[in-house]
Amino acid sequence: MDNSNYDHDLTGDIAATALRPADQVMRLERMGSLHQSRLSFMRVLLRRLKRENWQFERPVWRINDRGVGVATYKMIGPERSYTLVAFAHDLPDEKRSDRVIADAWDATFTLHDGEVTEADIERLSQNVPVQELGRISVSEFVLSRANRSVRLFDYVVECLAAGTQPDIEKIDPIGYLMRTTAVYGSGKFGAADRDHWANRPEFKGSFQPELLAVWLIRSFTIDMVEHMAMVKSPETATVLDPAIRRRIGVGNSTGLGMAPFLMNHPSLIHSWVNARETALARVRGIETARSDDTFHFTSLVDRAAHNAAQWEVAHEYQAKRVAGLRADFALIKAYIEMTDLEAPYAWDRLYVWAERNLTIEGQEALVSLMMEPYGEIIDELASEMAADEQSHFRIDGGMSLSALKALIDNHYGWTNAIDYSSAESQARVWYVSAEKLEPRLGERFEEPIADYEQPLAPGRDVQAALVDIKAWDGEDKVGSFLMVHPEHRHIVRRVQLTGHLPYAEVRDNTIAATMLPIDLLRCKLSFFGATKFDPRSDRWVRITMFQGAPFPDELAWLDPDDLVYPPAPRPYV
Amino acid sequence: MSWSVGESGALALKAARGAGMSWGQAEEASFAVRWLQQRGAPGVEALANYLANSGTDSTAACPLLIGTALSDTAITPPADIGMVHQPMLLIPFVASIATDVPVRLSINDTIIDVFPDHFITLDTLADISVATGTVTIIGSPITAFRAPADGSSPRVPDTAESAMTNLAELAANTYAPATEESRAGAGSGMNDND
Repeated sequence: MDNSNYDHDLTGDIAATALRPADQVMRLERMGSLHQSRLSFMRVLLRRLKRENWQFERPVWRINDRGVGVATYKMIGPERSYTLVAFAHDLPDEKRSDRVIADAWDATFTLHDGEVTEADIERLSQNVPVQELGRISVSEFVLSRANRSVRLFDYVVECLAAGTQPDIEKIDPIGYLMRTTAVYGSGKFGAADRDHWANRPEFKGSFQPELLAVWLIRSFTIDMVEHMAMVKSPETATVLDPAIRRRIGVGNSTGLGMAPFLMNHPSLIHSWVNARETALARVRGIETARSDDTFHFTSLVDRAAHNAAQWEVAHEYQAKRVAGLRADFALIKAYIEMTDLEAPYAWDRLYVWAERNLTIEGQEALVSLMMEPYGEIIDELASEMAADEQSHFRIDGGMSLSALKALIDNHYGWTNAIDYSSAESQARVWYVSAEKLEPRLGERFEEPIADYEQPLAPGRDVQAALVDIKAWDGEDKVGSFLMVHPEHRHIVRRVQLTGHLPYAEVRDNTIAATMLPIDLLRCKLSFFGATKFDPRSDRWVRITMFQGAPFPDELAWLDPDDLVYPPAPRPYV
Repeated sequence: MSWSVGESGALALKAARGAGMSWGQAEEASFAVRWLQQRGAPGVEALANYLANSGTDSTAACPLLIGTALSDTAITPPADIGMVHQPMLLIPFVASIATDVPVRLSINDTIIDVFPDHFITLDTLADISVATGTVTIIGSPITAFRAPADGSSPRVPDTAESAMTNLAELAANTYAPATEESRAGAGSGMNDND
């Protein structure tokens, strides 16, 4: 969407509304309540592809009557092109597992840099279908795989084969034909290092190659059902109606493997949260909203409320939150009806009201909605949602211990409320299993795993460091302290980094008995742009990606930002 | 076969931890390996050889202890360090204290000028890829060596294969043997065949 012809320069109105403090934002409950926004990486990707008029081709389609073979999907941009290479497999039902320990899938994928040759396809066919056991090269940026939603896939094939369209009542609750069970990038399994492509403008921000791959996987899933319908009944088969097709996204099934990511990439998570908080502060700083923008907002509230009404979850934890969110939308609508959103600083007052009256889930949904009308002052923040992780790596050894302690007091005050000597507060251990080399969460006092603990308990580690720091003189230097106490090196680095980047740290006990890993998963996935969070346990979540979004052949004439919210059942009046 | 620099760094972290270093120190080992490999120097081999042989010669110092002390400014140039294992591993830490002015050091008779983003020697990489060497941090040179052009995309070459294997063996020390609880605990506990 080109906003350059806006007749109203908002930047002049932005007051210095403070960012929300990290002690408020970086709590697990709030992180686990985040919703997608216009800064989410899927939306950033599609805005750019549309703006730059990227072209789409499907050069190879060699899928046989059993649904097995290879297909390629190519996106051609102003400077470069990228090709998704998709391998379709014949997977027996008993082998279909979303777990990372699975060894076969319905489909496997890689994103290749540029055009693929037959030699590339041959090389990739030896490696991509076996996923972690194979090797990709500096010419590949992403490795992924997906499983069918058996119910929906077969149902849609049946409908299309019979020449009818599937019922949207059956599509909407599931929302995808296939769900990815891993999307690897950034140097994994031999893929190109992030440094190799990070300076390409099309990949500015975070996870752009991965999400380009997922968006093209979506097209592949549609082509597969249409192909299988044609195989089944060539006489009667039809293709999906574009409006129904658009309601189909790509699922994703994510477990614990992703949970430590936010803690292992502190400067990156700061950059994401800081951009979102800056966006909120800019909106709250607007003195007078234009009527176009308030109308845009109120219409989206209606559509988002409809979305919340459709949001089905099995897990009790999320079901409670969704119920709260539905009630919150009723409150928001009532507030809007009683309030003049064009009054001075109405956005700020709306936000302050929300903090007092809505659940955290509702507050964060509202924050995302308030950002929607303001692409012209927000979208530029997306390019800052990346980090040079080396730039804050070096420890400042010349810092005095009293200064270090002041940083701890300032940023880790929340640890004072936790008694780390109690069993409940250190009940969990993050570790990596020998079996599949994946992060796991175990019970410290029930399993023999404490010796294998990963450094993912910053609160506890800060308290342990403080005990030793107190035995030293405040004028002593961090460098001298760490020569005697190398065991505190990890946490001292984190403390100093958090001093520069306050949203870098999860300000909660990440090893407590009550900790819910799905909060960490939800936070990350919301920044990706996921919708329809559907926890399957406290450590496993399904989502949909790109539901509602345009397909490559529609991008030129549809607005991906508008399509994120499904149409309301009636126009907003 | 080649590896990404990211893979070598991730493996170095786990191998250093698996060899008994603290996590914070292992992060420094990973940093050093990445920094060297990004510049075409065999950091993977240097770390693997250090971790394999560090116990055999106690007269030489640990390059990561000396390196972090330099990075933390607990040791400042000029400084006679004495004998150091795999002294090439010091270079990334010297780079972290270099500013616009490079820091010169010597490994045995080889002079190296270290800049924040690269290092230059008039000798060969083989002269600094030594098991042990006498190290002196000289300080700022009066006339520094000039930087060569560098446009290559760094990759860890297949010559690193045995070193990568050695690091992988040490990394395995950080993995917990699977238990029934761990297998059960990671998944959804629900049918995925839906």
